[in-house]
Amino acid sequence: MHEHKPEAGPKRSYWQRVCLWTALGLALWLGVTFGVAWWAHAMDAWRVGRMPAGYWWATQGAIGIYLLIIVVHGWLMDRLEREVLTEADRRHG
Amino acid sequence: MADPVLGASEETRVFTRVLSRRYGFYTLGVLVFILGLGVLERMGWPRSWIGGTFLIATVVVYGAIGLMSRTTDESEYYVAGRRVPAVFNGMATAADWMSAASFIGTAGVLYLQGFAGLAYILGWTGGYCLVALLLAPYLRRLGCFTIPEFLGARYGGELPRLVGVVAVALVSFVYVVVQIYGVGLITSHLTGFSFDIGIFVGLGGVLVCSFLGGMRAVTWTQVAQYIILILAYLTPVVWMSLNQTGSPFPLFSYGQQLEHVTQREEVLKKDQAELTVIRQLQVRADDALRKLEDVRQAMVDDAETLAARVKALQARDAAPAQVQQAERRLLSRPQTEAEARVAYQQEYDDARQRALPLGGMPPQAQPIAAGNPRGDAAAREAYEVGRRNFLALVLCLMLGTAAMPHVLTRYYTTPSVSEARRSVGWSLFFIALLYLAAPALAVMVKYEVFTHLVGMPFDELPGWIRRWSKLDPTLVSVEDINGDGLLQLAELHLGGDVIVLAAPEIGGLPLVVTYLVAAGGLAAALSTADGLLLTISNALSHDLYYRLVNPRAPAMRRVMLSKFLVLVVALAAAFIASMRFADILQFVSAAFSLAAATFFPALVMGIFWRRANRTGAVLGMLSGLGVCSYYMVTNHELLRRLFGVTRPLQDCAWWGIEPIAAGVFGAPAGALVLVIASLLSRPPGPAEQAVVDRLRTPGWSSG
Repeated sequence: MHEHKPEAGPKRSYWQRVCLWTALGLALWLGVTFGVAWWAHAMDAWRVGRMPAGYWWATQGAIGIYLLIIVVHGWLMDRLEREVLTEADRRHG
Repeated sequence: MADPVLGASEETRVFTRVLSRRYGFYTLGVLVFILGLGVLERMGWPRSWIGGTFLIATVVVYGAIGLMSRTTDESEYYVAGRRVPAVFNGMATAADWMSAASFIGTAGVLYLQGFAGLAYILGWTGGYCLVALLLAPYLRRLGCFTIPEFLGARYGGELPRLVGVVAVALVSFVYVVVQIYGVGLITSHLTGFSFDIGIFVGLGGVLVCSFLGGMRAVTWTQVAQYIILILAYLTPVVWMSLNQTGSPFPLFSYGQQLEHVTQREEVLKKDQAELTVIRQLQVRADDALRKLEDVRQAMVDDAETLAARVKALQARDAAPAQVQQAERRLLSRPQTEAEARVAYQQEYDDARQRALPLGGMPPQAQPIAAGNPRGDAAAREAYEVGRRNFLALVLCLMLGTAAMPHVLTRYYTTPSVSEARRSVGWSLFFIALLYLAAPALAVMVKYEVFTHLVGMPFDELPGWIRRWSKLDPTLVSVEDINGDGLLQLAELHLGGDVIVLAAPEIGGLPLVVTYLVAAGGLAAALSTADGLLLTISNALSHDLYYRLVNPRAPAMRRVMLSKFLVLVVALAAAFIASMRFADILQFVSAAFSLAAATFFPALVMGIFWRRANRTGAVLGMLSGLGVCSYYMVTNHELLRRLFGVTRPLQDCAWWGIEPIAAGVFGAPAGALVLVIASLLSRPPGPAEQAVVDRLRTPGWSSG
């Protein structure tokens, strides 16, 4: 009963949706990392508070986004798993 | 059927409440202890007593927790019984993760290298996204004991497991040597013991934990160590921020200090006295260069000059101390040509480095200060290379973070997959507390040095300069080069490791804070060493001995063997650390590159690509390791000399990337070989396919 088969129909399977959200999270992660590392000099044209923007993103902004990615991704994964498990319960219960 | 409610179970919730109460009392006790010592300091306790009390008290507490959590049960020993709640696993991971290098080194690197040092901050935090999205929940779902065991289960056969064991031992051993080096540095600073005795005292604390109680003892000690290390790091930062800006929230207030520092940098660059010192340093460098051209003649000249100096001093009845000093210099001059060459080279390098503007430190907030995107062709090229290296180092550290075996095993200890995910978030939160504070600390120390220390008369210099320069002249040294009796920035040499350890003294805080910081550094080094030793010995006993040598060994004997191996590995690491290799961060980064290149592709593809098979994994891991080692050997100065690489450096480097980021080549190479070799050989068998199915099915969390 733990064998998982991709379901036909409009809804994507659990694993496909996991991969989708993971890919989205990774894209955001890569974007922030690359952006901060590559365009720090250009971003210094702006300021955040009293710091140059490039410096602020590298010391504080990026870390905040990383934490956000992990928390939101974890919440989405929990919701997905709960959905799948309650459905399985209904079918077998 | 699995519990549809994925949140913490009732048992976990009760356990969390119990733990919160216990660690709450513990934190209170720590605070009372610190305040008590502060009062005793006021009453005139000598400094060595305060230092000794800190060292003994903390090591005894860690030992006591280890003793109370002793166990011989297999699941308790390997994965702490898999009931560590997310928050506490987060704290334990943070302590496990933050090494002596993070604690002592990061702010120092930021102080010395400015923006370039932020690569470590970004790399060491962003890596947790990869852990959370790609690895931790899946590793927990399969529920193994070690990382090589996961490789063995997913790819089947003995070879992936064996390669995994070798790589775990290699990566973790490089890393643990650096930790023990840090332990030696800090204990000698805390107590005034010699470095070697320091190593073995600290080692006692490590061994009590991992030896008696394995993962279970290490977990609960690491939580205690995290509390000490974060208190130790944040106390001076908050205090300095209060002193300098009047705000207890350095994160929001240190922007203005950064502005001041940037302004001072401009002033100091044009300061006449600084420029005089720089000119004199350049003369010194030229002198050294001339001596290097004819070392033999220079040795004769040096001997004559020094002897003449002694005679002249004696002739005019100078103070005996002065005469003695001159005689010592005459006697201690290099005797052989080889020694003299090394000494002159060092003189040259040192003078050259210090003759740079701002003592060789780039402006604090300027990204890629080596070049300029709007400068001439050379400056543009330097900017491009600098930017590439920054990005490469960030990515390499991230991949390495996500592949460090001792961190990944921590996520085996949570009660469920969902708790493992939540735990990664908590880990990053607890780690970020320190990494957000490190740049603030670097800026505030720099402000103190630039505005108060520079320009001070030599006879009024604060006590910490004398104390530290006596303890280790490579960390702190001052010299009145232009003879004006005032300290210029170019006359002051501060090593990176001293920034955090001496921050309380630099900021003028009570002595007890100095020792609190040292105790925090010790906690950081010990907790990481604990986790690493356990990872190595578990891989050797569980994967090598049990699975490959003696599959019928009873659980009890496996645990005993692991305990014995902890001892052996610890002693071997202590022996190597006592040889005192310099430059702590260099070796840490080597471990990251190796981990990134070996494990990352095999672990992630094993989860996300069904077609990855045994041949691919083995060849991928080996070629990742190979490419990474090759790049380090051909590019790292020390290793080049060791292996006698003669090809010129610029032909060895790819796109001008420094060897510190060798993992950015190793990891893709490993992934590529894994894909090609997998596609060329037979797909994984039914047993391995079943493992992939389990990895992808919710509700599956065995163990």
